[in-house]
Amino acid sequence: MERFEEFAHARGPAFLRLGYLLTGDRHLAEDLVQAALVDVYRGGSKVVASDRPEAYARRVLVNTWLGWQRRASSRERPFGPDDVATVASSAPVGRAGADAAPDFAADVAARDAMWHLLATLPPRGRAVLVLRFYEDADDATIASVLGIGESAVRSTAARALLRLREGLVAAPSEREALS
Amino acid sequence: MTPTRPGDPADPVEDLLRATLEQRAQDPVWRASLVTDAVRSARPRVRRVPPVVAGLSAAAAVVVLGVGAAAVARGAGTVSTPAAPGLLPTPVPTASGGRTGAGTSGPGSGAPDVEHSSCAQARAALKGATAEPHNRAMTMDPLYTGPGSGDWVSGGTTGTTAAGTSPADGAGAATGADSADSADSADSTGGSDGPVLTDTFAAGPSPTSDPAWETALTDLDLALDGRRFAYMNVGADVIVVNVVRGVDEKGATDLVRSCTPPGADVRTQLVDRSQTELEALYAEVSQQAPERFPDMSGAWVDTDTNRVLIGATTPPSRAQVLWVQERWGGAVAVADLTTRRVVVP
Repeated sequence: MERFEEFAHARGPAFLRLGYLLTGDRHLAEDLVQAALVDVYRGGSKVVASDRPEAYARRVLVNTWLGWQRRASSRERPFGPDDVATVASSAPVGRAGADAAPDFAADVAARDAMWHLLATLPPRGRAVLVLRFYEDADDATIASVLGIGESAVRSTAARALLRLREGLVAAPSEREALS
Repeated sequence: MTPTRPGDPADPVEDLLRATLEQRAQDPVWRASLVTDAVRSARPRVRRVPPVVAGLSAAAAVVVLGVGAAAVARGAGTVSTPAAPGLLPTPVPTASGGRTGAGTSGPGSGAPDVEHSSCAQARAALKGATAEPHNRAMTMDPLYTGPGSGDWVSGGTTGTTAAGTSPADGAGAATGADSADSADSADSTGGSDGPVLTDTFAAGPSPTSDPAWETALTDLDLALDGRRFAYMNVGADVIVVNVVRGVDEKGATDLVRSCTPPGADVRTQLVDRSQTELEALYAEVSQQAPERFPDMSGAWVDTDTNRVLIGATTPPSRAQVLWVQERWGGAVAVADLTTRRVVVP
């Protein structure tokens, strides 16, 4: 019990961040972390005492979220395609060229657009991108967490990235910026 | 299209995605550990003087007006409390009477001095504890832009002098047995294993320039006989004495508690790293961090959080933050100066 508390206290914030990136909602992220930690607790001391309790907890967290997404009642679409197009067209990617002066506002707008585009991705695609680009996990790890093959990880990531590219290059200015 | 892996040639969309995730990940656990001077100064000062006490000390206040807050407050056995902006500090008679004034307290003073004796007992209980030599102040807010910004702030100019060099140096003579304790403690400062109290506090504008705080700090410092069992960190309205976790924590905490000058809000907190350790860590970070943080503005010791901070002038990447964590754990953190946040992995 004591070791579990120690573990939950130490890694809770990191799980919360991961949960937030997956769900896009702080409160949902808290619920998700709580659910994952309950599962870890049920796993007993052997989980906490194992070499990699964090990996186990992360797997539980991601899969719990994916499980939630499969339920029709919990499916959310915070942004519709029209909204995304609007955001993308008003948010230039702030990397127009090496000579351009850094534009803080453009960066913020671009990140905001990216964040909303992420919300439109299928759950598994989003999970793969978060694990790859935030957790810096390799394909094998992602495959292990999601319980799928490495080739499925690669194809899912490719499709998700393609959708992000399409969303960001919706307007001519973005296409120009990204080129 | 196969997505690139971290480390592959830059892809603008992937870069943007990574930056978005890193930035968003900081949202839910935003930590306000970087307290700016602006925030501090904007916070209203707390008046801790009950109206009755303030009235009783009106006469002393008149004297303070004429002669100068710090010196008179000390000589008359008063502790000036911070006043609202634009108002003079209000001196409050201390329970220890003239602990810092010759013949007004301690043996022969004729005045009961409960606090003083309990302070002496606590001090005696700490006999043999070692202490660090006086260190320069090492606190600096990354957002502090006042005098001395961009470099170490050498504070400790007031209120933290060793007992022998304090303006109220007569205390030793006035307090009889305590002066002997002081001499003993001076002899015991050679070691390094004891609870360490090195006093230092943030320099710059208020409250260190406030005579009321000078007085409170000096009184506390004298009560500690100049022994450095903690480093003091002055916030907007409290003096925080950081007691280094380890040997005789309770003794050090008791000492501070019993020697706190009335009217001053002094709190203690246990910390993991001593001033010496932080200094060593600072030196190490200053040497090694530029390899990974070519844009770093510098490093500094944050005594508020008892760690070393690396100031990054551009948003640090997750890889950079992870590198710091793997290397130094929680003892070092990265401060993103563009967003004024401490970035956590």
